[in-house]
Amino acid sequence: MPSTFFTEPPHWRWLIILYFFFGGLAGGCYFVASMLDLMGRPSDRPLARLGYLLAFPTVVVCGILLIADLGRPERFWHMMLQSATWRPMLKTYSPMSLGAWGLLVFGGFAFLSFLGALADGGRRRPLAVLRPPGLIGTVVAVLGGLAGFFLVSYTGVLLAVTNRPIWSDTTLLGAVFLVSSASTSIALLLLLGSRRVFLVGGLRALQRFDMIVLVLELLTLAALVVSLGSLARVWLNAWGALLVLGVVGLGIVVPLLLHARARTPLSSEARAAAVLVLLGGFLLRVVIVLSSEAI
Amino acid sequence: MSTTSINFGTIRELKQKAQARVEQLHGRGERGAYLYGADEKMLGGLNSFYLLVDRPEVYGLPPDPKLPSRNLKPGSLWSALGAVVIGVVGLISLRTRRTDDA
Repeated sequence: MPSTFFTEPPHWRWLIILYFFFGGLAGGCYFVASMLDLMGRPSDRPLARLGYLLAFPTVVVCGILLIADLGRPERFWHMMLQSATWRPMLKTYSPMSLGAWGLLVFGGFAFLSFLGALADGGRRRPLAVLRPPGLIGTVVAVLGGLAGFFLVSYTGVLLAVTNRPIWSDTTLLGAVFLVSSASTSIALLLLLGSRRVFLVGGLRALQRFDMIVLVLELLTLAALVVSLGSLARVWLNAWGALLVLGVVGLGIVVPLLLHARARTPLSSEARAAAVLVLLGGFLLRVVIVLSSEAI
Repeated sequence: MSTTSINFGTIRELKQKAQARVEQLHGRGERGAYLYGADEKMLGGLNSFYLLVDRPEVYGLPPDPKLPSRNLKPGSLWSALGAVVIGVVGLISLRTRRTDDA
């Protein structure tokens, strides 16, 4: 029996699961928006704007969820500052410490791009420099996008260095969460953008993007199960059924079939696919967290 | 009442004492007696070790403990690789447009 079975669970429940899910959406919406801004066409700008407008409020929710999960929420600032010296509390060997800083840094970039996105709507024009294609906007989008990639994947690495069954028996959880964050964030943008006909070109590109990412997610999940080896038998129960039917079936395979059938990203099939991808991404985090907690 | 089943002291003295006890038990016919966590094979040596006469699992101890921090580097590298792949897929998906795309 692996040594991880002789450890005590950290009792992470719904606040942490919701943090993992919304953290994935915040970082993912941001890096997809920055890709649209940097690699897309000028007609994609409204779609990128939608991504920035979603990322900042979502990362604020993430901060609230993390603080609420602390036994003593009023002491959250000890994660950032040393109370005796007022120097930064940064432990480079700890994903939890790096993650707290990553959340703060990403939140800063998300706020700048949020202001830039609001300015693009015509309210505060000078702040429009915070979005590409100008130099300042490009630097913000590139650094914010990198911070977004960090935010969506560090949670998986955090689990991998937490001495519990499944979590520290594989090194692939960071990559799994990253790919899932991409698929769920693209799905959210497809869903919210699907009622705006003028976005159809960008939505078609996002739909193709999501289909490839869903295939990547399927491959990454298969690699995760293989990496667990004989330990994967711990999923021969209701959690495994939820993983196969909910995450893989409803959250990946059915959306791929629906996208393939959908003649346009504005169709009801494409919208249903997006909803199922979001559901699958949430169930993935439920299975990963609670199946280990249950051992 | 103290059972003296737990001993305290310097690591070196305790290891000598424990090894002597193992040899004493072997001499009495308890051939399965051994020290758990006393040598450097287990995580470089534990500061707290045990004299056992059965498999570690029987006592609720892990047979082959590993430091989970060993996953930090490979986990981070896999994530970075994932980010590169998503970036490349995004580049291809967003730059390659069909004629009917706006």
